[in-house]
Amino acid sequence: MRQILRMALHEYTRHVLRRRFVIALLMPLFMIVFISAILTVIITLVDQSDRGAIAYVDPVGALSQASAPADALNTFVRVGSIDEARAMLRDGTAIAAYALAPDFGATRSAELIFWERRPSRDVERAFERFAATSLLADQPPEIRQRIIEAPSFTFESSDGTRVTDEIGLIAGFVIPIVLGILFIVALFSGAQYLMQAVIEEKENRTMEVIVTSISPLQLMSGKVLGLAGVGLTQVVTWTSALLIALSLASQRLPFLKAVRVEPGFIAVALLMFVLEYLLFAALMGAIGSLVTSAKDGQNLSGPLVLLAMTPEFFIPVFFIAPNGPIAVGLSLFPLSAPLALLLRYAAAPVPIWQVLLAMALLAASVVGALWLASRVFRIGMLEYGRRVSLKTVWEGLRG
Amino acid sequence: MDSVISVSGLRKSFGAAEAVKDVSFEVHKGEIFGLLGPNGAGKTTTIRIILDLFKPDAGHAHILGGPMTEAKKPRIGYLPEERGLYRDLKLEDCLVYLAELKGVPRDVARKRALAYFERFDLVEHRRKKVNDLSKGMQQKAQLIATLLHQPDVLIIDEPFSGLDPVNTRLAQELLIEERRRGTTLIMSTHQMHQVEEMCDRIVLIHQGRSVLYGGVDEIRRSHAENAVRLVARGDIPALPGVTDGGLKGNTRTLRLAPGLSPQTVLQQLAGTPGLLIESFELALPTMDDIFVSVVGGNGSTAKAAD
Repeated sequence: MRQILRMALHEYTRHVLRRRFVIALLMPLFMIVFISAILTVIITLVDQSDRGAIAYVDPVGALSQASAPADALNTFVRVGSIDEARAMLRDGTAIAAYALAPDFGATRSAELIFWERRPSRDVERAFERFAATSLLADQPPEIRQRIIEAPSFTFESSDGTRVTDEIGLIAGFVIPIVLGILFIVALFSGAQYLMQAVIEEKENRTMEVIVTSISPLQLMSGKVLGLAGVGLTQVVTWTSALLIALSLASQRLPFLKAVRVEPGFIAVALLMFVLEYLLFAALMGAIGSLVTSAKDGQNLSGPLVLLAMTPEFFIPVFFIAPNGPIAVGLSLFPLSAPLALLLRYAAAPVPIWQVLLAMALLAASVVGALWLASRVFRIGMLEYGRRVSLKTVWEGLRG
Repeated sequence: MDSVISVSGLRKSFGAAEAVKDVSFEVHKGEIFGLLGPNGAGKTTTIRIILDLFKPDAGHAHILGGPMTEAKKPRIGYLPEERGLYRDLKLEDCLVYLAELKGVPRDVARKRALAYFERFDLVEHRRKKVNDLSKGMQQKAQLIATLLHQPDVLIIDEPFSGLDPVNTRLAQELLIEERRRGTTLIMSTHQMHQVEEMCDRIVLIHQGRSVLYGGVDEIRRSHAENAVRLVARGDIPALPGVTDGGLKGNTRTLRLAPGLSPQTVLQQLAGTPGLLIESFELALPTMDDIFVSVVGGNGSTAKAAD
């Protein structure tokens, strides 16, 4: 065990101290900070441009009883003529103007006038609410308020574990999907590195020296563990950065407050990811033992990558039937389990027994894959400089 | 005599190519054993079978009393012909790491490595990446990596390749010291003068078969023709049964007729007036001569001693 840990530490430090790893680690952080900053600036600017006075021309006094709702972000200014409204638009004292038709009371027809930039839908909605207060003036205040304020829906899962509002429902997809992308990036880049390392070390005979010191199983376990540590470092760093960015950005962007961050979910996701990483790294290590070039390795690893990515191709199925047979099947199949569980979690609560079963299957696959990788590595050692046929592998495994 | 390595009837093929056809030999405890043969003879394959990197198709290769096991690995040092070091690591870190995998505590490995660095003039290079070292330095580093865990058995493939004469001498001394410490060495090399200087016994593998096996002195004697080498001042008289084999430098070779002993010739020469004998020795062939005659001629019929 000491040798495995020594090798794991060696692989970990050797990899994380490389310049290309540091760059790969920091690049998404810069991206997160950059995108958050840009989004915050854009949304703030859009917000500010939507605030301000809305002028209206009301020739027959159709909105004489109108009053601005308590939560309105705009003020409403009645002007005498369209020219006056245009003057306000021109000098910037109004952001939009409405010219009500003389028969507004019957037709609800009004003309929107703006200068240079069409106001956002929020501005239009604000004026519609303002107009509604006048039309509902004869209603009791509580009725008037309920009609003017948009209906608020609360969504509750059938098992009662998840209660959310409309924004929360959409925002709930954010963390699982973003985490899924981060996991996939870390997984593929790390596993690819392991395969490359095995090919190189086999070719330059470092392996020969190592295998006369430790067993193939110790070698593979050490390499895979070290690389899993590297992957975990990447994902923990990126997830932390994402959560910090989310927390900072939500101070400026209130809708982000609806994004759910559940520590239990993050912990389960990380654990699943580590197991997946171990599984993938062991399989890539096995492939690296069989081939003589990275290109050959990529050809063999292609199907594995596709299997891990399968849930991406079924995204609509996850949202339509998150507990249907395809979604459940993919979340129990070890290679696709982490991503499938993330997508299912985004759509609906996942029964705990399925999470535990997926974890157990994945953990068992890791043990099997490590055994397989060490056996395949041993077979690959016998065939220096030559690509090993699958028939040879099969015979070797049976022998 | 205790046998540390025992190889018997070894056979190994790679597809249609038969790399090793029939190799047998034993290496005794505490000796330096030469594993000789031309390129492609099957030496490296034999070494890899001993180390359990390859499985033999037939025969067996035992080390330290049985087949190779995980428990034996820390007792064995292996220097492959091609460099087996991490090129992107610093020299010291690389060697210490490899020693740690052999079970040596880090601080002990570091201390031992430093002592070797001083001896091999590598102290100022120890923080350099392996890749940035010269070929000779890498070879020295590889040799140090093989010795750091103080193994009982050393298996070294071309240990002097890439070394200049000074470092070759240094490496040679180091290996002889190891033998004095009780280490058993099996050394594959093409440098026959090293074999003569260092090896106690050898096996010569040719076309996958062991064709010559035994003590270096015995083999040289068994391949010697009845001749003497002489360095003398004055005229050498014509003696019955003696023919002149030619002069090389100041050494003359005299071939003796069958049955005529060198002793008799020496007595006759010593009694020749005006002839001053400076050196007189049996004309033993060099290992180089034997190698060429066995491998260049019909190797399969060469006489195997022991």
